[in-house]
Amino acid sequence: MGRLIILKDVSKNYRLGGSTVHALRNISLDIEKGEFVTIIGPSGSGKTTLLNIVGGIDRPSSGKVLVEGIDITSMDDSRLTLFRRKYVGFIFQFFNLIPSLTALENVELAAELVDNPLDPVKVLEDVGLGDKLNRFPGELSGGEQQRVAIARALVKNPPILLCDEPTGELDFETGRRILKVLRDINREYDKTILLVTHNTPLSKMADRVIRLRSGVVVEEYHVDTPIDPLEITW
Amino acid sequence: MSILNTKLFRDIKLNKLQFTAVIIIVALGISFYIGLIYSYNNLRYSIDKPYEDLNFADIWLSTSYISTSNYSSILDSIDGVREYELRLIVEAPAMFETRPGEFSTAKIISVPAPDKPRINDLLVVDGEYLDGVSNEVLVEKSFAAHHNLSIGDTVYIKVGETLKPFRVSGIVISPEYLWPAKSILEHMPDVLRRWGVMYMSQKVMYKTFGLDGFANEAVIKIDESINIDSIIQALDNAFSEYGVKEIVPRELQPSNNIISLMVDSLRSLAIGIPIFFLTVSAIATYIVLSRLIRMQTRNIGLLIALGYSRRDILLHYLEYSLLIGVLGSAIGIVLGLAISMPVTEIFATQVNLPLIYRDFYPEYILYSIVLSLGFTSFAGIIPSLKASRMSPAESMRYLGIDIGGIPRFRGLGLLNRLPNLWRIPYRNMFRRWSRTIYTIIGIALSFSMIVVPISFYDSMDYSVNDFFGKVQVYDVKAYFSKPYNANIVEDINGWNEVSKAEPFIEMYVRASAEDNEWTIVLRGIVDDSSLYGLNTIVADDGREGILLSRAFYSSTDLSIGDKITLDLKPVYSEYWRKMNETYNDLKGLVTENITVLINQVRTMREDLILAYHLLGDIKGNLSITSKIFFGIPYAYVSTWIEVLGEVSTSPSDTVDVYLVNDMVYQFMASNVSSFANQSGVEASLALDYLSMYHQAWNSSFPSRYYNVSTLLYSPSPFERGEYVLDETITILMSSQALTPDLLSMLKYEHMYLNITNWSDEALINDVAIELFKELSPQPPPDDIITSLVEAQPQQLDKVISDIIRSELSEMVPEGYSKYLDEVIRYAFDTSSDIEGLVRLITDDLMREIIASHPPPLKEYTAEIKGFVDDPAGLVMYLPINVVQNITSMNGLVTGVFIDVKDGYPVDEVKRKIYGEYEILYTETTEETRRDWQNMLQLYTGFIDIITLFGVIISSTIIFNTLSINLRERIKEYATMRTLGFKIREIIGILGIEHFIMVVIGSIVGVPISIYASRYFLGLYNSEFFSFDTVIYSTTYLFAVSVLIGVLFLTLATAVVSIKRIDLPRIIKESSI
Repeated sequence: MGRLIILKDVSKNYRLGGSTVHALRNISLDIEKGEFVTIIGPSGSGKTTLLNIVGGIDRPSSGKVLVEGIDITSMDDSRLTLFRRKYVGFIFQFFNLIPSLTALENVELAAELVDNPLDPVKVLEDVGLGDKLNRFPGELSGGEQQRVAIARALVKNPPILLCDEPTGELDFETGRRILKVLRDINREYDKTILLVTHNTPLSKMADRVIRLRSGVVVEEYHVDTPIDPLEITW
Repeated sequence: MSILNTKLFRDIKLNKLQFTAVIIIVALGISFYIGLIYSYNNLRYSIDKPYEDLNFADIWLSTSYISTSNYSSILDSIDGVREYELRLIVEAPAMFETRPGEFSTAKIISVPAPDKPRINDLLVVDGEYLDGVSNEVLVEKSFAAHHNLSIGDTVYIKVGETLKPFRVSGIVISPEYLWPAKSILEHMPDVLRRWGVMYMSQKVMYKTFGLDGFANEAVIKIDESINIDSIIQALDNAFSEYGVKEIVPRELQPSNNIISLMVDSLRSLAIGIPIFFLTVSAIATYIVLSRLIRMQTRNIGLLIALGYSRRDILLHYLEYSLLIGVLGSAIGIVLGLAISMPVTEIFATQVNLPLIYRDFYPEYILYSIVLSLGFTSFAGIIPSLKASRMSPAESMRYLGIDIGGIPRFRGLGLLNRLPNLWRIPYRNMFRRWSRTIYTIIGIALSFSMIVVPISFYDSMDYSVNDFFGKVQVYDVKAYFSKPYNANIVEDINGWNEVSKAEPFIEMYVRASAEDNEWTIVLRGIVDDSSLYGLNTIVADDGREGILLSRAFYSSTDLSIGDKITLDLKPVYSEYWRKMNETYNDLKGLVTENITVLINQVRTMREDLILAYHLLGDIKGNLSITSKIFFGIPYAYVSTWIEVLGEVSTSPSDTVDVYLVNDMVYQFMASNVSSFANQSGVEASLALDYLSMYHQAWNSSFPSRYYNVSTLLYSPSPFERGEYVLDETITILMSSQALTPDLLSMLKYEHMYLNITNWSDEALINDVAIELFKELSPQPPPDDIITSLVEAQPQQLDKVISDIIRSELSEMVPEGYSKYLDEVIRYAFDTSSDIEGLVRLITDDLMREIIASHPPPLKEYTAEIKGFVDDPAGLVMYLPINVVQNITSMNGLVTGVFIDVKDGYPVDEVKRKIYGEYEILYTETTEETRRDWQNMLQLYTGFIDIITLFGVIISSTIIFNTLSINLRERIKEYATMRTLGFKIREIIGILGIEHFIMVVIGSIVGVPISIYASRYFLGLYNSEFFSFDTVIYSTTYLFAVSVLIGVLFLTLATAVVSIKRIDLPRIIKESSI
């Protein structure tokens, strides 16, 4: 496994009112290809900011982010767009599906962005929605919507999947199933997954756990034997 | 400030663009209302003020010429007539120094001078008022402007056959002619080319027109406590015998009536257009508020959960719309007050108002606030109620992302083959119906707000082009001063310059149908006219009947098959007035002719009586000598015939003629002496003459014996007697028995007398006749002398009357021969008055005239056959022969349409027709078209303002709708950005979705535009002028272009908005 993502002294500061908020402070990390990394920490610790910077939808105030050796911090807006197309699949807490497109179409919409996408139907079948391909988001449950979001992220066949609290809006059982899907994808598709959560038990399913607090990595460790997501309780 | 109010202001701040847009729409609607309603009130005030200042009359009484003393005494006796002024009004051809050769009809009104009129005073805007003695005129301002007249110019007024010069001393404005209207139907600006008003001092007018001491109009101010109708009735009764032409109350006075209608149409627009704008703003308010509420669903749930009452929620959200109303009306009022100034001025200039008076009308400010709050709160009440009725638990579960609304239409065929990116736009439209529908309604209304004002232009342009292209096809229309025989049209058709000429009859009449009544133009044109096209809007060709102009179609409820009645009583009265005039003229002519004839008869009678007496004298005084010389031969022949009869029994008998002659001689000789004695003549002379005649008689028979019949017939005794007489005279003249005097007389008489009738009396008569002829220098014909000489005294009158009748029968004026006996009777009776005879003859002649020109109908009713596209007022069309029949104008025409051949100047034909006929005025199509366009030009500023408002409001609506849609979808776009979509791809989706809605909205907007245009144009349309509602395709294209332009502008701002999306925040947030 090689280093897919490298963060070098990444800091992110926001101006909020009259004061500066330091969301990230000199974070340096290496993420290996195919790794399932959980980023945990309390609210305001900088988890999502870190994820957004890696995903190219936010820029660091300082430091560098290299993905496959390419410095994405120096990219302009349009190159970042292309970067997101090719390298990143996002999975959000609130699913963010296009309501006017069916499950399949939502996935196809993403597939149309890249040259060699995966088969949208197969991906949806893989996430357990083979029988609801033509349902609109409004006709799907929260868990199903999140599966569509995962399929949408996966179909572009990006090396990286960034998941921001993917179970935040789901009930326990559904959440576990989603995590299972993610874990399976990680394994079957060899995707590097960064999963942000404030839910510490979820870290047990990861290969590596990074704990943030106040924008600083306070703990980082490898999980020797990640457990099956279906076994996790919280 | 409560927390909720703080929230209110912060929400507004957050959605400032949308709220600003709605406030702008409300403000524009209110500004339009205030602008127009203020303009209306200012104009009304500016009209009423000069009416008051210049003491505008309450009633115009128009009559025949009446002496001012009579006029005054009648007016003084009528209750309710508070004040009056008598005027002399003359319409005369006038030519201006500025336009030599061209005549207009000047309505010249007498005014006191140097004092000004007490009623209908004049405002001198240039120059000076009349001094009262100089040959000067004041010219009404618009008339002066039309003819470029200025102070000091000369106006030539045709009085009789002479042109009298008058100096223009002043240009004036009159309350009577603020709008220069000749009549209620003749008010278009082109009327000034042929007609206008001038004022002349009463003294100068008396002198100029020779009407000293007369008046034919009174302008009256009434006592307002007395009903005007009763005063009008009293005036009508009091002046009936003087010939009341017209009594016009102020409200029907043409200028006032037209101005009021125009200003009232402004009032209608002042209410109609703002209501349209405010309806649009209400929809916009509804859209903004309902979307705000949807986006704040979780907040509402939270507020209710916190303990805010539903009433608090209702009021809180209602406050948004009320705030829009308050701010919109405040801005609108200020803006409206500002625009009321130019709008007032545009209209004031148009209606010739001398001064513009402005006032502050607080009630309209209040109305506008109520109107604004009413509309916006009405728009806000539904979403606010919806908000107040939300379930807090459900509201708080609302995710804020717009997943609700599942597209009910997935797409068909090709649509489903589109890339998924392109499926989003149309799917979105079917996702949330209400949003799509309101967006489309917003676009449709925006579309119509651009189209409606421009449709005014289109309709005007189309009407003018259509009218001059299809209806008024002729080049020149000439109105004759008096009806001409239709044959003259053939003459005009023969002119080299003329391609075609067609006659027409035109007159003003009252028409009625059910309870409505109008003054209309009745126009009779030839069937299948090629110069005046009856371009029908709707018609039933299978029906016999009349065609009506567009104004009837758009301003009345009349439809095909309805009956309409023409009140021809005025035509009827006019007919009898003319017949009365004809009767008087005829009576004068008859009197003249009869007088001449009677004098002629009397002269003839006197001459004949004289001749009769002279003949009598001649007969009485015939000389004895004459009696002897002419009596003896006659007596001899007569006696000879008698004796011959006695001596023979049959014509075949043979007689001794010498014997018979001797017997006669013996008989005659015995009688001649007694005859001679009686006559006192020498018996010897008579005997000598008898002897000579006897010898000559004997000599005339070569043989002694003759057959009786031969004696009687070859020759006749009288022929023989004549021959014998000649012989006798020859003998006598060779005889020594005659004295020289006797011989001379005999020679003379023989030479001149031509005695043919050998009766006793006849012989005398003949002698007398011949002598009479000798004595008379100009003797009448022989037959007359013969009648006279034979007349017995007791038969003399009859004989004379026979002679006169015979003599005059060939000489009397046409139609009088049958009255000759009456004339002779009147002539012989010198004591009789000829009045009776004149009346008899005049009545008879009038009966003949009326029989050949029967009176018009008192009314004419016909069914409506259809409506034609003629925008110029209320016009009724009938075939010319029908008009001629019903108006008793058989064979007559009042004007002619002329089409000029290509290459010939129209003006040349115009001049020629002026030279050939008595022309009231002419109008060329080119001039009329120019006048119309100039008049319509007056409205352009006003329409431009409405168009500008329409464009602003529609742009605002489109911008608002799009930006709200953008805001609602921001998370979708953020997600797409995150997925890796480029901005232009997202803008493409947004653009396509809204482009489709612009197209659909525009299509929906077409019928709305047509309906609204019809409605607003209907407010402007009147009985005077009526447009068809026409919207050019270019107007629709323009409206779509504006909307697409605004769409692009909004998309440009959307690019900025999408660029500025805070992706990390948006995709993370559960609600926006």
